[in-house]
Amino acid sequence: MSQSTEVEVELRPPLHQVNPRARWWWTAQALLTSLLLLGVEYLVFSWFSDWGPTPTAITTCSAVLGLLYLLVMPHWRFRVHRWETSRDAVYTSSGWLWQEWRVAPLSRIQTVDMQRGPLQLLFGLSSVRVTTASAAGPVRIEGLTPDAAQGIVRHLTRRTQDTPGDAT
Amino acid sequence: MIGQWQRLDRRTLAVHLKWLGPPIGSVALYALFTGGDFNRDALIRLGVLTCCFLLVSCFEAVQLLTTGYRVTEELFELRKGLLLRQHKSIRLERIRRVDLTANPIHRVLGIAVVRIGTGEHHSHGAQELKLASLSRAAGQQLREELLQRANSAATEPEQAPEDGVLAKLDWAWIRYAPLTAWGVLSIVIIVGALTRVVDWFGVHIEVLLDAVIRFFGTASTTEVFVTLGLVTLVLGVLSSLVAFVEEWWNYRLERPNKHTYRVRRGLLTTRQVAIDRRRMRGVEVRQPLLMRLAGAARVEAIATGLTGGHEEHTKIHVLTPAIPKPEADRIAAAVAEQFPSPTASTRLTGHPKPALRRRFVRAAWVVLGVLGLLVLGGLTVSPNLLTAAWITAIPLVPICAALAVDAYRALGHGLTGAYLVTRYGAITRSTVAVRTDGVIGWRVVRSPTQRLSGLATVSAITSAGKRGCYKVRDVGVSEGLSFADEAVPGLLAPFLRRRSTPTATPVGTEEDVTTRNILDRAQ
Repeated sequence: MSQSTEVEVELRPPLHQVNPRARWWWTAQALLTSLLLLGVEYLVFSWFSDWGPTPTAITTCSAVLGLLYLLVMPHWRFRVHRWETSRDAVYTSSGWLWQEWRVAPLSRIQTVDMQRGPLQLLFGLSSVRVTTASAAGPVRIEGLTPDAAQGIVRHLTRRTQDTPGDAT
Repeated sequence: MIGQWQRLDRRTLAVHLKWLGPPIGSVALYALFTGGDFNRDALIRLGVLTCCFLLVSCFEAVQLLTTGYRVTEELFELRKGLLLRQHKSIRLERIRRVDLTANPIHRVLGIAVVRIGTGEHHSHGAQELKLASLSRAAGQQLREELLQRANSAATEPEQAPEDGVLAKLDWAWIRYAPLTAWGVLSIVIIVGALTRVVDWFGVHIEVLLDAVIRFFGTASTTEVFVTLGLVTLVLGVLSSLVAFVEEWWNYRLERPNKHTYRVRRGLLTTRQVAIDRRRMRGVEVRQPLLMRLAGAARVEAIATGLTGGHEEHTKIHVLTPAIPKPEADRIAAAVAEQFPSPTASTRLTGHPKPALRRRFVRAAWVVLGVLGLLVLGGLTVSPNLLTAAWITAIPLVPICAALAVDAYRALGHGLTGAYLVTRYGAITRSTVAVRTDGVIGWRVVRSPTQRLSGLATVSAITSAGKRGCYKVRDVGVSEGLSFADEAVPGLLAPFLRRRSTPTATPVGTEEDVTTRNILDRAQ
């Protein structure tokens, strides 16, 4: 082997995967989005009826794209979405085409909430939202079982209460 | 003073007389345009307008008379309202800034609006209480009191104030004022708004156009366009000069005491912004393209609690007007309290070559987009646009390519002293220095193309700034993560994986995979 070596640094995936049911939740979301888009297209094209074959082509295209999105996105997301809490930090990864990793130290956390949207409720899932003093937006962990979410909230609340200051 | 409910200054009532301005003004304008001939429609419009403004003034008067405020041991409290009573309070130690502003009417009356802000972010921005208005003396007294108490709550001993003026207005700086596009834009906006208003009162735009055409007489179209262009340009330059004088008159950036930076400026509207020094998280030196070509730059503060919702406050983080770059670096160094300035850009590490490719691809998209639109228009509307397409292409292609190279050369990041520095942008070049102890998290984003070319955008999250994060764009993954790890030791380290990769000969992939697995299990 070679003499000269260089240390490459990369982010390791967070420890825990989200609940597998999250795939169905994302599929439902994708389905709603695609149907909404097709509905809007249908309305627009029925308004302008003298455009020849273009509307049909566009609608077919978006139907195919929507179907692909529906089939690919949830599984891809499931491979990417992971989370981890340590003694000092929350670490998450999310996204599919555009992927995002977030690290927030527990000492800088302002609030921790558990959230359940109507769709998530349907699939028995919950999210955890961790806000810091930054305008960059909260760190979210989506698609957890309510128990796991509650566990995270308890852990984070206990740890953050120990730290003084206003977390700015 | 402590614990007593205080009232606003009664002279504020006089300010609300300004609400009578629009109805009186519009009646006068109407009379002017029509020669005093009021028909029924116009009367109804004017009547409705007057009623609206009367309602607004009544509401404001009630608010004024029912507002009270007091400073207690721990809180600043504000209550107001007649039917809908509101009661708000801020803990004194959370107060980060107290600003006094006075527009010309306020100044004639000797009063000022006081705004009290905290350093927290909510979904709707930082919390802010507004007192409109107090007498100037009472306002200044309140500010001293609040800032002093906010400081003493943090148990830092007060020291004798040093008379530190960091920057004063230099009239030579006015030469940079026309380099902002706002001058020309404002003329266009004013003309546009005027035609709307005139139209509303029944004078049609054709009449105005006729007047313009008659004025030019027999001149050709080209002459008319060139003249109008020149007139707009000259008026634009003049308006930017006027704006500079109004905004930066009597400008001073100073450190009146150990805890505060203060910016004072303005001719008709005086603006005073005081920033608690312990809220400073860094500085930003911004250079829009034209300014950069002229060697100028602007300095802005990165501080928590500077993102209020009020329009006047979109500029509260601005520390200087456009000034020569060396001067900007000097001021940045003074505000950052580190010499040489972290924003003076000699020590930055550049970014890998794929970042240049990404910039070329983006430039190509811009060129394709513009030309595509023109060609599409040429095929469907008028063949003239096809000619326009290739005429546009000749300057557009080299300009976009040059901007791409320039944007790549701008990219850089580094650590110097207490600051992490990142630089980016061609249209507006920003050099941002953020205190590493102000970093409250990291965000790494990778797009599909970034993953293919081994790049990432690494953002330092802070509690300051409108977006709350400062990006190191398109840095090599390994380099970017090492940089983040070094900037804030310990935060990112537990989530990083280090791999020794031989640079000379490639390793067999199977072996590589097993090493990784073992490392994974070990963790």
